[in-house]
This record gives sequence, structure tokens and C-alpha cells, in this order.
Amino acid sequence: MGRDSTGKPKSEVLPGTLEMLILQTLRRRQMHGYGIAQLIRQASEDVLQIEEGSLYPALQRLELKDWVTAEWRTTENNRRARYYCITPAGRRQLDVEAADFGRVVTAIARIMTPA
Amino acid sequence: MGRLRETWRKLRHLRRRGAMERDLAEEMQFHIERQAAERIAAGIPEREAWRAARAAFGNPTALGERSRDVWSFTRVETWLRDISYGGRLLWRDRGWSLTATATLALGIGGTVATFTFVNAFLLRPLPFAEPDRLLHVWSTDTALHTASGRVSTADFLDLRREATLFEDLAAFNYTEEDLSDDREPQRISVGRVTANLSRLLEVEPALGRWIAAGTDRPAAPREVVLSDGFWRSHFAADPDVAGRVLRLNDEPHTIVGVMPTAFVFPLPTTQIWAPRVLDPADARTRRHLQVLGRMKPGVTQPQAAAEMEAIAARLAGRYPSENATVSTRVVPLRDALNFAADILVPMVAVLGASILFVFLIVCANVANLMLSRGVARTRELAVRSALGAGRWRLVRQLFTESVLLALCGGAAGVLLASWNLSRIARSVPPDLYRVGALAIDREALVFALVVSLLAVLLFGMLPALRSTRPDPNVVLKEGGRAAGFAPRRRRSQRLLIVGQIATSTVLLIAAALMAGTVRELRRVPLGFAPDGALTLKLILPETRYPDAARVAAFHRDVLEHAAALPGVSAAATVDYLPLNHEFPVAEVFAGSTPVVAGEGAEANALTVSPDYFQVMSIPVVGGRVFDARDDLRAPPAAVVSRGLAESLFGTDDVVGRPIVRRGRGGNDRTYTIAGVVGDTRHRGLKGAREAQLYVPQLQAPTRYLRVVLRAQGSPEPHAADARLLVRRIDAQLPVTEIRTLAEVVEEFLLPEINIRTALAEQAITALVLALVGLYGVMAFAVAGRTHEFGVRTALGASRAGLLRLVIGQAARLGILGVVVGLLAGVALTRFLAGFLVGVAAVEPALFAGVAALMLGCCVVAAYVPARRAATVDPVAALRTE
Repeated sequence: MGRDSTGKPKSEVLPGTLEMLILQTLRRRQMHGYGIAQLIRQASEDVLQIEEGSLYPALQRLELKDWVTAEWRTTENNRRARYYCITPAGRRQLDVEAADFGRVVTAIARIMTPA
Repeated sequence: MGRLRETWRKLRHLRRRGAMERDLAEEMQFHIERQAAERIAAGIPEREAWRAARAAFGNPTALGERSRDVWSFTRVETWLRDISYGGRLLWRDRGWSLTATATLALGIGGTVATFTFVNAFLLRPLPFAEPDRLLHVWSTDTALHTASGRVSTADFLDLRREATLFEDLAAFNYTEEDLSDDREPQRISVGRVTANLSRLLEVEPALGRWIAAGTDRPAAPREVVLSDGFWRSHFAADPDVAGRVLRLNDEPHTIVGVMPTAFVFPLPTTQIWAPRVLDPADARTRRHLQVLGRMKPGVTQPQAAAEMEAIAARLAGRYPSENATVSTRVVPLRDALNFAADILVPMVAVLGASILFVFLIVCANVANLMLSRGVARTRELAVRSALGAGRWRLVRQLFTESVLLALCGGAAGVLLASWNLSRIARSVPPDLYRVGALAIDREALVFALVVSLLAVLLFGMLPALRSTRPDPNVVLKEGGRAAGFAPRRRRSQRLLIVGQIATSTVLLIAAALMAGTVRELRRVPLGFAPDGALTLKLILPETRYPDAARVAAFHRDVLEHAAALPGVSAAATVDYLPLNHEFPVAEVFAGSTPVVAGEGAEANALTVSPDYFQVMSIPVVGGRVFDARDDLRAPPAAVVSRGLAESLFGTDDVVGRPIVRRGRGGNDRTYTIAGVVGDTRHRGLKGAREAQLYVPQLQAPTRYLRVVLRAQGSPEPHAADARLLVRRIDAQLPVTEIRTLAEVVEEFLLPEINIRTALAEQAITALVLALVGLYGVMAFAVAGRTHEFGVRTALGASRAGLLRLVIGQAARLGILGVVVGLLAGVALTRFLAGFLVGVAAVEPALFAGVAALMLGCCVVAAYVPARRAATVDPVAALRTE
């Protein structure tokens, strides 16, 4: 952990937020695992790099909890890929987590902002 | 709720595990491809791009595992892993596991068999509704010194009418009756019961109906209900059996139903229930019924007892000539059905105690084995602990192993118990009342499980737990060699050994005392010669033998035919055999009527044919024995045993003097003494000298009789002849209990022999276990001290010196154990005193013998480890450093 093969420093995803990030990513569109990692990295302007080691177990957890479903589809390049899709329960969970996260971030920001 | 749904999804997922694996693999492959493609697009050479992509992705196997874990039942799977690891470890130490399993099996086998036995004979409630409300009513008679007598029809009817605290009272007795059909005549065991019994016990027939109310009146048509076993053996479980007719004692009985298998009453051997005819005209002194009652709800036994006694007191006032000394005594029904409880309970107590002792030794051995293993594994556990295994994780591992061990030992123990039970079942009389089969059932299995877990977890786990608390620093530094030799552990192992030796000593003493008792009992002079005599039992039915003349004719015929058999030197008939648990008690007085109460002697009254004394080899001391003259026309004659003569007259010179036998209800009878014969043992081999009164069959022929044949040589070959000879006289008369007199005597000794054998088995088991324990501890200690012995040898210690050193240590443990055992033996064998005959509970010679035997065995057990110590090669021993 810590560095990828390019040696570029990368930040760890805050514990417990990975699932939220995945759900947020899937909110607008269905996506495969690789795409999810890419989207999160791009959206965070390369600050957040998703470890494959935690991405797939997290996807399995979400599937187990019935917050996402998965199906095989063909990509634009005509390649088979497993696409994840958020479920209504997943959306509700995302709303709850997003609200919680917002409160926590605001609180931390308040503490960290010099008076 | 969420958890439940997750579990459900996990379970459903189990089915498509394979598909999921493939999905995941493909998905990850896709991911790597895209990463590679990205790099290739950025201008990195293809090979390098792929390599980097794979490296960035990480280990797909580990990743896959983590993804799979999401779906798996982690806890269950860890547990399964523990089990398989524990199983592998036990398998690796096969010798140790086998010893532990065998040890446990010995302990469990004994306790489970005892539990099943006690459960069936004493504990399990009667298979009737609310058995606590069922009581049995005995009659007591202060004049006849009876506390458990039967009740007459008239008394029963009065008790039943006047009782208010009982829902109902029923009467029964058990008889043997002749079954005549097309087959060989046979005698079957019949429960004669009043028609209300089924309602009172709340048991319904499995087939058909119960005998109808009113069929117990004298002139009613006879009905019978079959037991399940009899229905199967005699009617091939014919479902249409109702309506068929059986001839019982020559009377036709219509079959009306079949009882369920579980219905056992009043004997386990009862095959048929038929109405007990209640004739109100029966004499009040003819007491032949057993009475049971169901108390009304909420009534207590003392209240019920008080009411019965009050009614009995009123009857005594109303019928003073019959009932003046008669009252009642109520006991729980189970106690009355279990007529051998007075023998069974102390027997079970002694055997139970011995089994418990063996079980304690087993527990000590298991504890010792666990300690040794714990020591041997200290290093392994220390390494695992150093590598980060939490204590809880190690404890759980030990726990799993212990449970595995307990299950193995328990299973082997149950097998052993079921073998034990089949042996026990053979040595218990079949008509002894029990509830349920004498076999391993669910209760026994649960008991076995609990006991084995208890033995292993309590006695094995606790000491082993210590070994999960080693300081890895210390253990690993010492190289594991001396790790186990903490003085505290050594002390507890030795304490266990001393306890085992002490316990074995106690059991050996008990077994030796019982062996002495059996030996002494065999030496008791019987007064008759059992060898070479054959006996058989006949009961003449009233229908074919309605009067004394016909009974007497049968006696005469059977004796004539028997004496004519080749190889038979003499034959006799008698109503009751000696040492056969049949006591025809009579109160006998010196002089003639009227007798003075309290001056009589109690005797066994036997009705015998003239040649009885010759057949039994009972010596004639004075006067003459009976002959053909002593028939119905002659004055009543009697022969008395020397014991009776001396207790009545103070001398055995009593020929010609009159004596009186007190009869029921004032029917006293005066006899003239014709002769005096030697003492015999009729009731038992223990206790005071007995007194026998013999009266001639010719003057009072009995329907219940035994034929005794004196054979030249072995009596067994005459059994078939005897059966044939009875057939020639009466083809419908069943012949039962064809036994030699020696067998009768041997059977009488069975309780003592059984106790002795069982105690001997327990003692030997205990001894072997204790010696295995001692051997194990010594061997283990010697193995741990190899280095020390090497040094000693190198420094010039002789082999003999080392042998002495090790054996001396074992002997010290042995002596301590034996001393404790002897002291405990003095205290504990007192409980055996009731069983002992001819031996004192504390016999110095016997105690010394047992002590010597124990010590000898200890030395032998220590010899092998001692030799190993003495033959340590100093070079090899020191090199192992």
C-alpha cells in the first residue's frame, strides 16, 4: 500500500467511505470495477486511488447487502465486463451515508479551520 | 432482520459458488487488461505494460480470497478448520490419543451401563399416567410377622368400598397357567387382574378392547387381553386375533384385545391378562390378592395410608377372629412391583460406588495424559503464541481437541456399555420389574455425552489450560527440554498417581472380600447333596385334579414311573425346593393344643414324599422317615430337623412327641414326631441355623410340586426322560424349570457371584489404569531427565544405582498410595459388611496381600522406564544439547 508502480503518492480512501464512493459513482450510471476505480480517481483529480485489493471485496459486500446488483454486458469495445448497478436500497443507503459524511466533514472542517 | 437476510443470501450463494469464482476471475482479468491497455496507449512496450499492470493489481489469489470471504460463513469455517487441525494433531499422536480414548471408554462404558441399569430398574417412572398417585396396599399381620402380605377378597372389597381418598382400588396377582392348544402343553405367565385395572392405570389396549367390567364376577364369561410379545409369538401379530379362544387351565377364554409394547404389569414376563375372579364368599383369611390404588389428586401418601389403616382397624373390630392382628401398609406402586428392590438397591449401591471409583481413576488418568501432552506441546504453543496467536485462540484449539477426544472416548464407551449391558441382562432374573429396555437409549446417549465432556473438559482441560500461559521467552530459551518440569506440575501429576493407587487398593480389597465371601458361602454345609439330582416343576390344574385323591394318585404315578427310569436310583416329590427363594413359613409349637402364643418357633414347612430324605441325602438322626403307612388314614406325622427339635425341646431326642403347626384363622394342627433329620439350608446360606418341618405328601398332597430325581452319574441326560414320563401320565401338563439341584444352588449364589465378578472386573480395570498412569508418569519423567541420567552415568553412577533411583521414586508413590488406600479401605469396606459372610471387613492378612500385590505391580510398572534411565548412553544424551 502507499505507492503504485509509478511511484506517485496517493491518498488512502478514508475508512468506511469506499462503499459510499462506489455507490455515488454508480448513482448516475452502471459501470464495471475498472471503470469505477477510474471514475473515482478522475473525479478526485488523482487524489483518491482505489486499491484493487479493497475494491472487489467492497463490491462483493455491496452485492451481499443488496445495494448493488451485477450483470455481464458488453463494453463499447465489444468486450465482456461485469457491470454494477445501484439498487433502490443502495440509493437510500447512499443518502444516509452522504448526509452522515457531510455532517462529519463540516465538523472536521470547522475544527481544522483556524479561527 | 438485515443479518437474517444476509445469511439467507449467503446460503443461497453457496449453490453458485463456482459461478461466482469464475465471474470474479474474469472480472479481475478484465481489470488487468484495461490497465495494460492504458499503459500501452501511453507508449509503454507491451511486455512491460502487462507486467506493470499485473504488479499494480496485486496478488489475484489473495484478492479473490478476500472477496470470497465476504460471502462465506467465517466463524463456521474457522471452527471446521480447528476441528480438522485438532483431528490431525490427535492422529499425529496416535498412541496418546488411543490411550486417552481407551481410558475414557473404560470409564464411560462402566458409568453408562450402570446408569442404564439403574434407570431401567429404579429410576424411570412407571409407564402409567401420573405414577406418583399410584400406591400399593400390603396387608400386615403382627401374629405372622408379615409386613408385605397379600389381601383377601373380602378385605379388598371392603377397602374398595370404604376408601374415600382413592379414585379406585384394583386387585391383581400373577400366576402361571397351563395353555392348552394344539401345540406342546406349556405354562404361561398370567396377570390375573380386576377389570378396572386399565382405567385405573390409564392404559388402553393397542388393539381391540380391555376385559369388560363384570368379567371378574364368578359366573361371567372369561375374557383375556394379550401382551404384545405373546401376540407376536403365538398369533404372528394377527390383527384379527380378537374373538379367538384360548384354553387357560382348561377354561375357555375369549381374546378381546392386545396391549401396547410398553405395558408391563405386574411382571415383565406377563404374557396375558385375565380377570381375577372375586368371590365374595372366599374366606377372609385366604389372602391372595395384591392391591393397588390411585389416590385422588392432591391426596398425600400419609393421608392415604392413614385412611387404609383406619378402614383396616374397623375390619379388625368387625371380624376379630380373622382380622384381629391384620392391618395395612401402603408403598409407592413401583416399590411393590420391584419385589427384589431389597437385594437390588444395596447391590447397585456397591457396584455404583465401584464404578464411580473407576471413573475417578479414569478422570485422573485423563488429567495426567492431558498434563503430559500439555507439557510436550508447551514448545508448540509457545511458538504459536510468539507468532501472535492470542491466548483465546490457543484455548479454543485445545478445547476443540478435547471435545474431539471426548466424542471418540464417549462413542467407544457407549459400545463398551452396550456390551456390558448385554452381559448384565443375562445375569438379571427376567421377571425383575423394570421400565424400558436394558439397552442404550437416547437418555443413555445424552448421559454418555455429558459424562465424557465432563471428564475431558473438567479434568483434562483445566490442567491443560495452564500450558497456554507459558512465557515464550522462558520456554524457547530452555529449548523445550526442561519446560515441563515445573515442580508444581510434577506435584499434581504425582498427587493424581497416589490417588489412583489408593482407589485401586480400595477396589482390590472390596473384590477380595467378596471373593472370600463367595468362597465361604460355597463352604457352608447345605445338609443335602446337590450333585447328581435333577429337579422339575409341575403345577396340577384344579380342573383335572379337583380333589386330594387325584393329586395323590398323580404323585404316586410320577414316583413309580420315575424310579423305573434307567439310571435313576430314587425319586421324590416336594412342594418347595431349598435355596429357591420360596419360604413356606410356619409357626410350630412344642406339645399339643392349645398353644401358648410367643413360645413357638418359626420353621419352613415342606410337604415331601417318603423317599425325599434319601433322594436329597439328608441324614436321619433319630426315629424314622415317612413311608407308605403315613397316608390319609394314619394320624398326622411329622419329621423335624435337628434345629427345630432343639429350638422347641432343647434336645433332638423328640421322637413320639406331639407338635402343633399354627394354621391361618386358628386352624392349628397337631402332629406326632416320627423322626429327626439333619439340618439343611432352605432359606439361605447366611444367618442363623434353620428349622424345617416336614409333613408327608400322602397326608396332604400338593398341586404345586417339584420332582427330584437322584441319578447315578450326571443328571442332565435324564431331562428328556423326565419330560416324557410326565407326558405319559398327563399329556397336557407342562413341565418347566428342568434344572439340576446344583444349578439351583449356584443360581442362589448369583447375587454374591455377580457382585464379586463385577467388583473384580472394576478392581482389575482400576489396577491396570493406575499402572498405566504410573508407567506414563515415570516414563515421561525419565524421558525428561535423559540429560541428567547421562551426566550421572558419565560421572560413574552404576546401572543398578539408577534402576534403584527410578524404581525407588515409583515405589515411594506406590507406598503412599497403598497406605492411603488401606486407610480408606478400612473406612469404606464397612459398607460392604451386609454382603460379607465368613470374612471380617478388616482382614489383616488380606490387606497385607493386597498391599504387597499393589506394590509389586508398581515396581513392575516402573521397571521399563527405570531400565531406560539406566541404559542412557551418556555420549548421546549429552550431545542432544
